[in-house]
Amino acid sequence: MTNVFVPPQLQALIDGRPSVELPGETVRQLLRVMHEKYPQLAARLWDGEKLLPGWMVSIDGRVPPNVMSAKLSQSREVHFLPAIGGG
Amino acid sequence: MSTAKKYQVIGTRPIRHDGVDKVTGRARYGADVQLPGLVVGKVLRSPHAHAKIVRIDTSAAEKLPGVLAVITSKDLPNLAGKIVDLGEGAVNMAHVSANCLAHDKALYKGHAIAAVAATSAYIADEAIAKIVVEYEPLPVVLDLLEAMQPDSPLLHPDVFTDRMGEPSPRPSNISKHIHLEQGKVDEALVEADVIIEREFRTASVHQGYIEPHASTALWNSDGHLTIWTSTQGAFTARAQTAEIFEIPVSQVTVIPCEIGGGFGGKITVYLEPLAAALSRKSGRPVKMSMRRDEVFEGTGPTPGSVIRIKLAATKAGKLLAGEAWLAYDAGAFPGGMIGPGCMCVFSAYDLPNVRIDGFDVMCNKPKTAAYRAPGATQAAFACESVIDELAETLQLDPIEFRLQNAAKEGTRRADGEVYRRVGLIECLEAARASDHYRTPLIGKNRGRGIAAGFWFNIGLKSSCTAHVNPDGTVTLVEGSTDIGGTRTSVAMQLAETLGIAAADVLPHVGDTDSVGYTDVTGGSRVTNATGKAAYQVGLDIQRQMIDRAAVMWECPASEVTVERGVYRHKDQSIAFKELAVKVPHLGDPVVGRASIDAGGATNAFGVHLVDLEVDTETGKVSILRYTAIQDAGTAIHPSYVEGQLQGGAAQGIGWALNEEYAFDDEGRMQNASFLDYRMPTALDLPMIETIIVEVPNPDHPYGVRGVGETPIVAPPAAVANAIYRATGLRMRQLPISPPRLWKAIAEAGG
Repeated sequence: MTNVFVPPQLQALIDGRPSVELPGETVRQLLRVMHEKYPQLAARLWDGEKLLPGWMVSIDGRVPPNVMSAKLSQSREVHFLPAIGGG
Repeated sequence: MSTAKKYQVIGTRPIRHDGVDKVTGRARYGADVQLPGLVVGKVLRSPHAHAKIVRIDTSAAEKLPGVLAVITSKDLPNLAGKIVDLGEGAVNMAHVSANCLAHDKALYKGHAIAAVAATSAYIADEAIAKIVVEYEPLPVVLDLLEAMQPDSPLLHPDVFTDRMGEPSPRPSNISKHIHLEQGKVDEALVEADVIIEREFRTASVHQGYIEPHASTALWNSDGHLTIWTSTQGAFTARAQTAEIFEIPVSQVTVIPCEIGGGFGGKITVYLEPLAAALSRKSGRPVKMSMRRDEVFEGTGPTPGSVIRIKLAATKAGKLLAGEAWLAYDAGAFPGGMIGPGCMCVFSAYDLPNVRIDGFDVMCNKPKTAAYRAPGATQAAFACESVIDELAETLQLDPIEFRLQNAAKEGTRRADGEVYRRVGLIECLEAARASDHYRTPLIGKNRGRGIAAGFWFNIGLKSSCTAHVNPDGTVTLVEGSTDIGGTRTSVAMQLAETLGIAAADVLPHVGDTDSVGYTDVTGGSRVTNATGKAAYQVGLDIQRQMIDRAAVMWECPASEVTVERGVYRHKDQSIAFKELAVKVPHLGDPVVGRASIDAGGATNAFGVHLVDLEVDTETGKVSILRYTAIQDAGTAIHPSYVEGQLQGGAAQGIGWALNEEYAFDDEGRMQNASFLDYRMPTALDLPMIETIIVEVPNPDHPYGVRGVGETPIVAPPAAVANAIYRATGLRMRQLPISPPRLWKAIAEAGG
């Protein structure tokens, strides 16, 4: 199980909690479970195939490459963060 | 062990590969493009900051001899609601298109209304003058706090405040509200011994790249569109152009020219779609170049801001809580860097309790664009000013106070991210140990300031290919346009991997047809991400060279070893260059390739020190000494790292002291030239001293973090803190220009 931290503005969709525990070997699997348990939350984050534009995922402080297939088996926490760019 | 000893190539200072072409004037920039049948494109821009476009009559312009095409927004498809992820985040393509050519409203003075292609610039100018536009002027809103009011003139009736996917019930100039929160802020505030709360303002400033935007397009009769342009990302220019015209990306080739500065301002397309539409209509290649006033008025500055900071600490100097309220001016369309502003504002501190609200606010100014660490400099100016005031209130040394509270491995940032290994503490220690900090500053009206800065430095996607030449050199084709010397820093990583000299790698920037997909050159990502791709290309080539050596020595490849470019089998050895000569006779040509997603942030911190003197009679500030300290992870080419630190510091000093968009009440920019928009020159600054700290990035094979953006973040706060030491005045509005500082001194009785 991975502790999934939810941005404050979306916490109302999970009864005000800051995080939820979800299973999944990959980010994709985790989002599928989220879709089953918290469909409103999942709908704000992905389109069923990929993250919605403007989001990125951090796993234990690291934003992994190829995020949807990133492994979660050893991870403790996942954050959904606003995507960042730069100049 | 120092970098130079650990590596053969990394940490050395070879001559840059593109140097000769640039110093001899042979490098081809956007405006240098010449093609058979080339004609000139010009843009008609709005004289109003906010006006309904009632009617555009182009008939007189079209009849002018020598005019080949006239376009308006009617020549571009309607892209309503089209959201596209361009690698650095989501973009509303309808807004990008409407920024290139205004649709039903002009939203800022300088907004492009129509464009002309003609056989000469003179005819194009004459044709522009013959286009009749009937405007219905609308109320103008320039101040972002006014723009946030419910009764403010509305720029877009179809934009609602987005709260992470939930829109506001009514349209608003506030296009986004971000809320971040960690810990128990209210409880921590009650426990605090000292609380300081202040408000800050910063002005819109431009990147000020020396090369104006320039693009040439040829829409061939077979339907293929080729664009030569000054861009930070050939692939993002291709994607934006294809999306604007609703054509497949394979129908567009973007050839990136040399770029005379970008700093984030050459990611969004401006001229590319106009040149393309004019070429499609005229059947001729069309070249367009902006004048300097068009660059100021028609392209993106970085946001002005209003920021409120509250910080709480114990008597012993432990930070307990922070609150921030940030409003960033996005200009005429959504997207003013408020996200990174919120994420960066407290990023340098181990603050367990934080609450941050950020607002992206539209007003009748040019659409803002990224500028070196977009959103971070404004936030750092505010936060670092309060940190300095807190340190003084607590009677603590400003470096010791920062060290006591510095972000480090394990610190959770306000957005929830937990840092891996970062180097802020090392930068602060380097500042404390520096000759600059240990040298007393004496003299009247003089002060020393310090501030910290942070930028994420991103990863994203990069591609490279390389082939081994029979003379022992390696030709490298990379997808990253070179805005900061990355040809060399990427080539050096390939050279290090192969164990050859940097001069033996011949780097080239490919166009969108000749190299794999590569995200934009931005986010300080290229030496990190494309360098990582080059490293993998090196490993790929090394594997193939081992195979060729095995053929030569008639042994299994598993028995061949390689170290620092020397291949060995038992008592036999051969250097890479010698083996390369034999490759044509040993098997297939050797070509390496890599396409990678480099993942996320490398997190780079910097600390800046400044000594300055204030002329209390004029308000003029003279920089006496300046030192920029930064964790580069590993400095691939230390001269380039130093150059980035110096350039960022110089731009940050300009932001601090002089630069701002000055508008009249109707939204007309009053200083759209370098004569009136005051950027620092070499005469204004001392040599910027640099100290490179190397705390290797654990996610990069050579430890690279990237360096380009962090150095602009700290300067305004460092300068403001130094001005306080010199005058006793806390200046909380940028720029701290001579009139503003003189007035403050006068009001204080000085």
